[in-house]
Amino acid sequence: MTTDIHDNAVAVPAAPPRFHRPSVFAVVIAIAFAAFFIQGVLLAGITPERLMRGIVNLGRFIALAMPPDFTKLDVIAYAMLETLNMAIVGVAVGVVLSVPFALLASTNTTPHRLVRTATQFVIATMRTIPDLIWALIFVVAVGLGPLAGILAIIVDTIGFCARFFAERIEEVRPGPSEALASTGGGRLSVIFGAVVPETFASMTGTSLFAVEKAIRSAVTLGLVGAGGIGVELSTAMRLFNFDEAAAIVMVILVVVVGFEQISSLIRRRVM
Amino acid sequence: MAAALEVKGLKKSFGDVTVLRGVDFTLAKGEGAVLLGANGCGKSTMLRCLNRLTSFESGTVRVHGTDVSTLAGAKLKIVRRELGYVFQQFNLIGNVSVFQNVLFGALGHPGGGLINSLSAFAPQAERDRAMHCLERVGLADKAPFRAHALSGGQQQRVAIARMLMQSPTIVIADEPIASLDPKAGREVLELLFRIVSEERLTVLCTLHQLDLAREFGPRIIGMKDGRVVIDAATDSIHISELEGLYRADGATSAASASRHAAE
Repeated sequence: MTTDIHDNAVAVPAAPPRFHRPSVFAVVIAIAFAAFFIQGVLLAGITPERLMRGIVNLGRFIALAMPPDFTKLDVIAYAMLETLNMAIVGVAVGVVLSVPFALLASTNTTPHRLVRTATQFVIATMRTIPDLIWALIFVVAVGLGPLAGILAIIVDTIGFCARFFAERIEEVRPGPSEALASTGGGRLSVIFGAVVPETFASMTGTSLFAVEKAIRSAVTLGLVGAGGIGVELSTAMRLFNFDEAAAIVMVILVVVVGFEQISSLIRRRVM
Repeated sequence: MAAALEVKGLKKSFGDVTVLRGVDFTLAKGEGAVLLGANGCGKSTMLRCLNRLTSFESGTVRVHGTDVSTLAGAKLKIVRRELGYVFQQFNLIGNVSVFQNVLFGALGHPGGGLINSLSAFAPQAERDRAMHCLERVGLADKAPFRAHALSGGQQQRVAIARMLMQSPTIVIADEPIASLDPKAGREVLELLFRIVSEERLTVLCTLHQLDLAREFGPRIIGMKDGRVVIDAATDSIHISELEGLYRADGATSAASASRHAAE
């Protein structure tokens, strides 16, 4: 026998209304956003005349850049190699240093609450300041060249990796750690015996993302003199050698895309 | 001679929720008991208090006569070595090999530590011992596999091998078969109790199956609402008393049904 729901003795509560009145908070956010957006558009000073001129300039740039000039390919290739070296060294050191940072910043592995807060603050600072600014700072500290770029990538990598490592570490099941603690193992034994292995797959994935990110940033770090192919690119642009710049951009494109393919291949095999 | 395990007036609360309201029982050396009780009656918390995975407010827990309530650091580790735990969720480390998991059982041994427990650096004698432990649970052939590649029953047997590697004197098993199907569960339980009797270990094991409890436990300790309400030799307890542990009405009151076999 079927029961008609309308005949039920218990009254069914009315369905939720189709529309909700937005909360005060949502209205305030929407107005603030609109204000910033309109102000931003006005600030850009968009006029039809400027847009037209921009299109013409862009056309002239492309005309000058084509065909790309690969005569200095040896110099470009060497600069690209330097870029890759910077990225690999920087990211390797950065990932290794991220592990202790992450362990100090996670609730379940930190030796003390204050250490955790302090470490989180340091990591947040590393992450919030953009890599180009780190490069500027390190150029001042150690001079022009790849070392400044490597240092900038190390700091940038820690800001990125330590945060994600720490989030993964905090998600680790407590069970395996408790099992090792129950055998009479010390704190470090438990951390490196249970916590780190449990997070290993995720850390590998994050580290490969960091490699991709590092290569992209290594390319631009040269713009402020911190070594790599960016130095060549900014020189070519300043000397109006747009055809050479186009060649550099193409080399960057090929290498970065190639590297991302390799990286995602590795990630698929690891995860 | 000190009892293997002596718990007196153990009390524990989490915030406003009182979980243990004064637990008392004693296990002699080599004695085996099954701990029964409904979900949430405090069994797991009590077992975690025994080696201070969870700290407690008042009462005493003595392991071979040593009061654990105030121990810390190296002294606590020495006591923890005596208590081998087998958990409901196996608690193996998923990303490393079965062999490595078993080797970790020796983490707390003197001269052990992390380096000597890693497969790459462990002394040959320890590696042999770990293989021997795996052989005893019938999984020597699984040594190189990752722990998570094994079935639930196999994982729990690896956990038992890890416990053997630890060579404790007391085994604490917290619902060791609750995550397993009936057949695998019985096999694991038979293996656990066979090893316990071969090694003449003291064992305290929680179960949810009354028939298995009566079959494997020579003595049954029943907990309800954070207290021990039954403590007697299995043969002297009527099944209805055990069923009372799982009734919400408090039919098994502490005063009427509690009989202390140990005394």
